Amino acid sequence: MSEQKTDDLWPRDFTPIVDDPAPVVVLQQQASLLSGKTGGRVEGFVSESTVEGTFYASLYFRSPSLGDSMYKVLHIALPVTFDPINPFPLTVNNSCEPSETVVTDMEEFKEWLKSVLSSEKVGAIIGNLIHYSSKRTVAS
Amino acid sequence: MVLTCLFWNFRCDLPDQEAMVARVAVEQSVDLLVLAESKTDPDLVLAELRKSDPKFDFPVNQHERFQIFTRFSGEYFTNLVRHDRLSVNRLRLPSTREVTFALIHFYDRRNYHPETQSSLARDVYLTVHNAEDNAGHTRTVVVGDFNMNPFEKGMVDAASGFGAMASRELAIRNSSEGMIGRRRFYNPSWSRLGCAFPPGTYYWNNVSDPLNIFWHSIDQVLVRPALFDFFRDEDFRILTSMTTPEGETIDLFRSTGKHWKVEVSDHLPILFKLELPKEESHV
Repeated sequence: MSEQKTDDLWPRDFTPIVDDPAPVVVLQQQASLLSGKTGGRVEGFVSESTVEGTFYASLYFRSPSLGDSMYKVLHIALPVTFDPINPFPLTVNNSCEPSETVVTDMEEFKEWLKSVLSSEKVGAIIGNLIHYSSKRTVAS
Repeated sequence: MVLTCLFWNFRCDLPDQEAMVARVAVEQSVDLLVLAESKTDPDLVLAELRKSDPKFDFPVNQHERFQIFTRFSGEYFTNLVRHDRLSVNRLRLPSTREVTFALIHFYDRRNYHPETQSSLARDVYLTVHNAEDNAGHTRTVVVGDFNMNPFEKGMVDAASGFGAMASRELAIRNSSEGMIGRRRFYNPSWSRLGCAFPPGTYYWNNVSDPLNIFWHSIDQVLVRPALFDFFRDEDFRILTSMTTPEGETIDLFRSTGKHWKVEVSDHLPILFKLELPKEESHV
């Protein structure tokens, strides 16, 4: 039996995606704006993880008034097989006022994100963190 | 070192509630007491607890939904993550390995449909999962009022809920080894359904809902496989009575004929023991 060479139909190389999907970049940008807007008393940061085939980006707050702990604000979720050019639809979750919904494009995502970040609840949390950071600074 | 832990959704309006909850904790030799929905004055509870043991403490930086009292210095119990309904904490006593001790008071059934509860469970589970990633281990327990029974979607579903299994074997077989991949919990409350009395921690007397199972096991503790050698099923109990200072036994629930009524609070407390792994143990 003659040996037949198997045709390799795959491309020569696979390029892992380097850039975060656009909604995660927006989230990171908003997180980094927070420190400047609060005089450094509250920081935002984005944590990325993959659980059971889903990629998550979660926004947390850190503040001197929280000590070593951090506060969860929201997360966005998309399947690990998402299209890097158009990562929609994606699932978004507001951890402060429980709701999970699906957004279908960038405009809708930004609207949702604005509604969470400018909500009374988030404003009150940031206000508290600023207030108690000031107290801690004065006390120490 | 073995810690005795008590969780109680303690919605109580009795005038002597601080003394009452402290009495239960002392009677059960509790080392870690967690109250949810409690209106007790923590200073008074602490004062009552310290009458029996001056080592009792009230750790700083507590989540507004819980009151935590420790029979050791509060510095060994530190908050890592806050979420609207969850408090993830690091428990580390001298010469023991760190354990992640998460507390939950999940969204209730009156205001949230079971499907909604299930979709919201994903966020809480993810928060625990991320905290484990940050800690670099899965020695985790999650305890509290889940407002769902062990068999409900939000508790069982591994994709959108807690992935909490009915047996240790199921939890092991359906978890990946180590930190990477799928992680399940074991939920010992499954073994209490129907074969012990009371078969739950909360009684709902609504006879007009044909799906009502009346006794609901909504106060639970979930354990990761990494802690199986340190958690014994027989140490997990629902407390059903307490003793008064006069030595009289009071039942925490009573029969009213057709129904039962849970007394003192509308939930029964749960009690379990957790051995803290020694520093040199490889878990």
